[in-house]
Amino acid sequence: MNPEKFSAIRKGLLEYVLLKVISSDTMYVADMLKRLEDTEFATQEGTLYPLLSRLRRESLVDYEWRESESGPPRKYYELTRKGVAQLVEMDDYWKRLTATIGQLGK
Amino acid sequence: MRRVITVNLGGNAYALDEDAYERLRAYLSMAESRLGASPDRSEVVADLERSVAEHIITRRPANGEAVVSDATMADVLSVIGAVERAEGIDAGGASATYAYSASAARPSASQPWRAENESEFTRLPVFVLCFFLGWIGVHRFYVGKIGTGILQLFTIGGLGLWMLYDLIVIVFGTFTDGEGRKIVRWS
Repeated sequence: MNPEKFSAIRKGLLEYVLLKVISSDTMYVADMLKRLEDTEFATQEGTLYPLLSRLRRESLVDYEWRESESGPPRKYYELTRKGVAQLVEMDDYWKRLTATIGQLGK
Repeated sequence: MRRVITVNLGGNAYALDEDAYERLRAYLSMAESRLGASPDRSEVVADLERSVAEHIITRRPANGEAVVSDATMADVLSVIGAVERAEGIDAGGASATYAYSASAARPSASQPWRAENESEFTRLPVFVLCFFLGWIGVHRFYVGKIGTGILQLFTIGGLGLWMLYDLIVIVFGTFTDGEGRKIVRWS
């Protein structure tokens, strides 16, 4: 099987996965990367920053600055109310999707 | 003797070896061009700079570098990874229907049905211009044949004969534009 096909699926799901990760706690980018590290969704900062900026522009996440003892200040992200609402919708949709696929098989 | 370049990353100064500096500069300009006209471009670049700074600091105790070497920079940038644009499917299309690059909006890209040797100009306007103003070469200026247009202007359309010839050629669809492409379609 061509791994590219899987990569397209993962790419499409990254926004959903990221909202899910942030929903667990307020965190900065390194925490998100760590959470995803050993999963199929392991990614890099080069991918996350543009995505986070867009999510913030769409008012799904927001951040606050926190000083770091080593290096520049960090952006700590959390879901907005709109972000939580979208995550609930996405959860729901994902369930329907997997149910549909399960039924189509046989 | 190697040069050291001091840069400001996220508000603090860092000393980079000149190769490391070049590598970082190339990385950031690649990131900028990938982000194109995205409204998040400057924010993402600032995020990347802060991230580079943080990675340099976390590596310092292990490598003991006062000046960041090219090898360290290569390592840092490979961990951060190439920038990928995050294009969302925007509900309602309100927030992100901006154009990414000028080249994507060129008319040739929006008219894929046109053959390469076929002009984007059409016969009807060229014919009308030639019919009414051909004696001063306006139809030639219109399609980008500036040189012969000026010649026609000063010879009053080649005493009318050249203009008449153009008119016939336009009707038969063999008149060409300034780039030598035939003007085929009527409108």
